[in-house]
Amino acid sequence: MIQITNLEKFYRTEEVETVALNKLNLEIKTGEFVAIMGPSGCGKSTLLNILGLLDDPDAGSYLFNGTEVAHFNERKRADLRKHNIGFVFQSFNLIDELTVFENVELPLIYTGVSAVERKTRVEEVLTKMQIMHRRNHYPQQLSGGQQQRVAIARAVVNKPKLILADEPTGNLDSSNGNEVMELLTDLNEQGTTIIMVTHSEHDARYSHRIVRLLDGQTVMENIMM
Amino acid sequence: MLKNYFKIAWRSLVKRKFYSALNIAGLALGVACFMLIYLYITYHNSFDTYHANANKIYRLVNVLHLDKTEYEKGSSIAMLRALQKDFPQVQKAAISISKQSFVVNIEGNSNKRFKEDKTVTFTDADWFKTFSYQWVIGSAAGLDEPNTAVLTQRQACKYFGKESPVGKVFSINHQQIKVVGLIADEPYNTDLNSDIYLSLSTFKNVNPKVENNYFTDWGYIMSVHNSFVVLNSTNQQKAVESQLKRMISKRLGADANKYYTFKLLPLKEMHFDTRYGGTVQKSLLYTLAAIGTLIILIAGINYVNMTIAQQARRSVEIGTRKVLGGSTFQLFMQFMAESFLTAFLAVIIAVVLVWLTIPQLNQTLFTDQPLHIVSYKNFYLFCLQALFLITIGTGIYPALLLSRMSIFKAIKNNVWNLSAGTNRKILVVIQNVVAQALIVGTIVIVKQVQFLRNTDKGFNRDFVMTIPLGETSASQKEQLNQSLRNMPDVQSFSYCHRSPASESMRGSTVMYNGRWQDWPARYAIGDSAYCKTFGIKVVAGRNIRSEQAVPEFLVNETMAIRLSPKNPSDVVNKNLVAGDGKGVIVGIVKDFNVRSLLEPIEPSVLLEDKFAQTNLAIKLSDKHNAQNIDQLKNIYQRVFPDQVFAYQFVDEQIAMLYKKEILQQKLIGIAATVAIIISSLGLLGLVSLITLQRTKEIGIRKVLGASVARIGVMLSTELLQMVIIAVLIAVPISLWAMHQWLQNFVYRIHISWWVYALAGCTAILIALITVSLQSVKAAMANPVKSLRSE
Repeated sequence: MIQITNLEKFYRTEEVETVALNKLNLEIKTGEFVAIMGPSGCGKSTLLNILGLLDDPDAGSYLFNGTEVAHFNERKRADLRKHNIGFVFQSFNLIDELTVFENVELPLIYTGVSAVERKTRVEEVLTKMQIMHRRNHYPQQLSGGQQQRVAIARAVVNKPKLILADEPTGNLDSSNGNEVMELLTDLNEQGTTIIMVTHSEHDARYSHRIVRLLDGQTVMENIMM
Repeated sequence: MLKNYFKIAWRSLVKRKFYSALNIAGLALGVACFMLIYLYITYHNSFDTYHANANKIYRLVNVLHLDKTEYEKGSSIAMLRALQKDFPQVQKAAISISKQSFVVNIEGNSNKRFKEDKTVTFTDADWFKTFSYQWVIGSAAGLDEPNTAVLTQRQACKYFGKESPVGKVFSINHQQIKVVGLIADEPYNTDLNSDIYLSLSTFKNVNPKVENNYFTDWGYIMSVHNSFVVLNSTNQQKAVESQLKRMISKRLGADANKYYTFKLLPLKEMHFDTRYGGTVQKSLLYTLAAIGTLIILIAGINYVNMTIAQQARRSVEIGTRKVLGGSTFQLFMQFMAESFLTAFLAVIIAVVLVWLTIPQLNQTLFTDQPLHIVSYKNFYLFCLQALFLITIGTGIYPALLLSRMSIFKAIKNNVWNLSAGTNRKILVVIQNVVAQALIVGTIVIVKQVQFLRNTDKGFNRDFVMTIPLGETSASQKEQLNQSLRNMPDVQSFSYCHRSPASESMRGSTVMYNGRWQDWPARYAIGDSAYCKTFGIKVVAGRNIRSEQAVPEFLVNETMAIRLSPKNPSDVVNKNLVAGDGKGVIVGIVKDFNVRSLLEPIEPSVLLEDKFAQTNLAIKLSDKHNAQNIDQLKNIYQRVFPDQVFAYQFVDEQIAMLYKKEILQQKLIGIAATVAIIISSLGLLGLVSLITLQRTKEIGIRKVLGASVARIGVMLSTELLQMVIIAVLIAVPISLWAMHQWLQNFVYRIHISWWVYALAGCTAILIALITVSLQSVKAAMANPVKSLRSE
C-alpha cells in the first residue's frame, strides 16, 4: 500500500537546519498494523504527517497504492486524504462546538454524502464504538476515553483504507488506553491498515510490526508474533 | 451545508461570548452611527423633492455685485408677475411672502389669542398649483379673494378644535379673515412650510403702512418674497435668465445689470445653498458621510483584528477540519458565515439603537429640523446592503488568511506569533489615528464655537433682553417708558430693529460727499439709547438725538475709514444719505458686529427708523431676577392688552446664529465618542487575547520572580506603543484638517499646542486604562494555573 524511498525532510530556522527524516525507506502492505517508535525528535511524527499528506517531503519518493503522491498539490492531496485516510490524534482534536454526532458526521459532509446516508453511517459507527448514548453531548462533557472513541469513530466513518494514529493513548489512563487499542485491533482485523506512532511498548505489542527510528532513519524492525 | 455553516457559526459565537460581545457591540455601534448618518443625509436630500414638478421648479434669486458679492434669495413681486405674463418658457409662476409674525385672535372667543411667530405666509391660488398640497376641504380658488385663509389641519385644530374650520373667522390686526380651505399638514421635508396661508391681497389690509408700489415696483426686492417658476423643460433655465437680464435693463435701468444678476436656482438645490437661505450645507453631509465611513472602518478593523488574533485559539480546529477533508473553500465559507452572523446581529442591534436614538437626537440635536425616516423600504434595503458589505468587508481577509493556513502548522498550533502580526498593528494604528483625529476635531470645534458664541465685538450683550412689539402708538410708548423708568433693575432700554449680532440684516448703498458709494452699508436701527443699552462706545463726536428734524447718524470706525481714509474723524458733521433720508453724521462708534461673527465687521450706520423699531431692548442689572420678568410681562399686558408677551435674551439669540456650528460640534463630538468606545473595545479584545496567548510565559515569569507591575507593563507596552504612534500620525493630519476648517471663519481661534497634548493624553489614558485592567488581572493570576493551562 505504501512504498517510501529515500525520503528526506529538513526543518530550517534562520541559523539551524535539522534533519527530521534522512533517506528513509519503508514499505507497508495493505492490512498491516505497524507501530513506529523511537525517542523524541527521531522523526516519528514527521513521518506520520508525510504519510498522511499533511506535510511535504523535501526529497524522495512516496508511492500510495502505486501512485507517486510526494508532490501532489493541495487539492489532490485533500481528495486522496478524505477518501483514503483516517486520523487519530493524541489530543483527540474534536471540535468543541460540535456534538459527538456532528463531529463524526463532519468528514461525510465534506465528502458530500447525503443527509440520510450520513445519519445511518454515523449511527452505525457510534453504535460500533459504543458511544451512541452520548451522541448529543459535546466533547467537553465526555471522558478522555470517550473522546478518543469519538475521534476513532470520526476517523473510520468514511471507511478509509488507512488509519494514522499519533500516540492514540497518550492522553488516556491504562484502562481507557487498552480499550482504544482493542478498537484499533478490531478495525485492523476488519481489513484497515493501521500505522501508529507510539512511545508505549505495551501499545506497540498490539501491532504486527514495530519500526524503530533514530535520527530520521530506520534502525530496527521487529516483527511481532 | 449552509445550515451547518450557520449552526457552527452560531455555536462559535456563543462559545466565545466575551469576544463575540466585543465584536458585535463595536460593530453595532459603528453601524448605528452609519445608519443615522445615512438617515440624516437621505432626509436632507429629500427636501421638497415630493412636488409633482420638482425637477422643473426654480427659485428666482439674485446676486448683488458690489465691492463684495451679496446673495439674495428674494425678488420683487412685480418681477414675478412679468415672468408669469411675458415668458413663454414659464409654465406656472407663484409668489409668497413668508415668515410673517402676527397675533391671531379667534373671533367670539376672547381667551383664544395666539402669537404666530414666522408661521404666516401670504400667497394666492397659483402657489397651490405650483407645489403639491393635499386638500382636505375646499380649494385654492378661495385665496384669490382678500381676507381669506387656508389652514393646515394642525393649525385648524389649534384654533377651532375638532370643528370644521371652513367658514370660521379669526382676526389679525383688526382685520377679519375667513377660512376658505383646509390642507393636510405639510410633510416634514419641506423648506416652504407654513401653517397659515393668507391671500396675497390681505397683505396690505393687515400691514397698512406698506407702500403703494410694494406690488408694482421692480426694485422692491425683499428676502421674504419667495418667487418660483415652473419651466416647460429643464433646459430653458439659461434662456429665461438671459431674457430676464434684458427685461431688468429695461425696467431698472441700463446700469442695473452691472449690479444685479438674477438667476434661477433649481428647487432641489435650495435646501443646500446657504447663500440663498438653505439650511444645510452639502459639505456637512459629505463630512458626515466621511465620518460614518471612518467609524464603520474602525468597527470593521476591530472585527478583522479580533478574528485574526483568535487564530491561535482556533488553529487546531482549522487544521482538524482540513485533515477531515474540509476544502479551503468550505473553510472560507465557514468563516464568512461567522462574519455574516456577527454582522447580522450587529445590524439588528444597530436598527434597535437607531429607533431608540432618533427621538433623543430630535430633542437635543435636530431641534429645528427633526430627523425623519424618508422611506422605510429604502432604509431596510440600506440595512441589507450594509449587512452584505460588512460581511464581505470584515469577513474576506480573515477568512482567506485562516482558510489558507497550513494544515500541519495549524494542527500543531504552530501558527505565527500573535504579537508579530504587522497587518494587525497597522490596523490598530489606523483606528486610533481616526479616533484621535476626531478628538482633536471635537476640541477645536468646541473652542471655536465657544469663541463665536461668547465674543462680542464692540458691544455688550450681558443681561440684555428683547421684547417684540407690534404697532406702538405714542401714548403706549409713553406708558411703557414711564413704567420702565420706575423699575430699578432696568438700567436702560431702547426701541430698535434688532440687537447687534443679528441674523436679520438691513442696509443699502449710501451717499457721502454728494457721491453714491459703490459698497453697501449695514444698518443698525435704534433710538438714542441703543448705544447705552448695548454698551456701544462713541469714540468721536456724540450720540444721536432722537426725533430730530434732520436725521442723525452714527457710523462705525470701518465706515469712517471707508468714507474718509486719510482722516476718518472728518466724517463727523458731514452729510450722509442713508436709510430713508438725508441726515448728518454726528459721531463715530467703535466697531461692533451687526451680524454674526461668521462675517467680518462691515461699514455700518446706526440710525433711527421708527417703522422698523419693532423691538424693545432692555438692559437689566446683574441683580435682576424672575420677578423682573413678571413685572415686565404685567407692564406689557397692561399696555398691549391684545398682544402676547414674548421675550428672549440676546445671549440666546446669538447662540441661534451659530446653530450650524453648534450642530457640527455636537455631531463631531458624538462621532469622536463612538470612535473612542469602538477603539477601546478593540484594544480590550486584543489585550485579552495577547494575555491568553502569553499565559504560559506569564506563569514562568511569575515563578521566576517578576512582579505584577512588571508583567502588567510587559503586556501593555506593545498596544500602548501603537496608540502613541497613532497620536504622532493623527496630530499633523488633524492639524491640517482643522486649520482648513478654521479658514471658513473670519474670526477664529488659534490652535494651541495643548489641544494636541490633551487629545494625545486622553487617547493614551483611555488606552492605558483599557489595557491595564486586563493585563493586571492576568499578571495577578496564580502562576500554577497559568502553567497548568498550557
